[in-house]
Amino acid sequence: MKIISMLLKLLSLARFEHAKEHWISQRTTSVAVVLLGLWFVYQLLFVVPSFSHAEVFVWASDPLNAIILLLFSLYAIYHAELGVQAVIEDYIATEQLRTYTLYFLRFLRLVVVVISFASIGWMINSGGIVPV
Amino acid sequence: MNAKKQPLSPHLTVYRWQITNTLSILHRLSGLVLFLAAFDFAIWLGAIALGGETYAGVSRFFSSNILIIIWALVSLSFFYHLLNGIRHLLWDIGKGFEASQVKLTGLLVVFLSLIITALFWYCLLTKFG
Repeated sequence: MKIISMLLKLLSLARFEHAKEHWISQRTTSVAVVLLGLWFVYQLLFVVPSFSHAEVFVWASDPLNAIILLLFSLYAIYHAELGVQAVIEDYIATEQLRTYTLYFLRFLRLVVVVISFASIGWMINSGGIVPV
Repeated sequence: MNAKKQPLSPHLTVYRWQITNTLSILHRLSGLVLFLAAFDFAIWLGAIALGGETYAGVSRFFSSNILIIIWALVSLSFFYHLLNGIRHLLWDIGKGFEASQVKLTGLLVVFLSLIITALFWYCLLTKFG
């Protein structure tokens, strides 16, 4: 059950986290984002051959790279939501406005999650063959 | 609208500027920059998947002069937030809490993030021209 609740949180399908839960998630996601972020920097500097579409597509549609890119996107926007949530809760005094802002933030995060899944799914599905 | 029960966080203007609170505010600001960059990342993934005119258009836009300045800011935010985040994690396990250490690691983080960002761009520009 723990793994399912973790997965729901990563997919932005869980309720807003507060207090201890928020604190712990902010730390665990930070570790994930550090590792995935350094992987991405390494890939940019030493692996991605050029920014031409064909070469970037071949690189990004490699199943391992594709999964890591998806995880990076999901963890980054999860971690970002936790951080922005804290800023919103610190500086928006009106309860109603604060709640609306948090839902708007969740909506933005869902957009990122959906685009990431669609893009990565599409690329893995192509089997590395660049669509013309 | 009902007023919130818990007190509002003090606004930035009330603080006396010191290394500690300046870096703390920069941590939030760089975090907000990276929040926005996460959307660019998703757009980039989408453009790679779609290819053709979409990728060409996004590429052209992302490599325009104004966006290069934005990328410089994003990369600096990335390395700063990463290094300062490690500093925060160390505090969480109870390390580096002495006033002198806080100051020293703070300056170290600023210095290193500038160096690493410069190095990152040097490598990137050497590789891609």
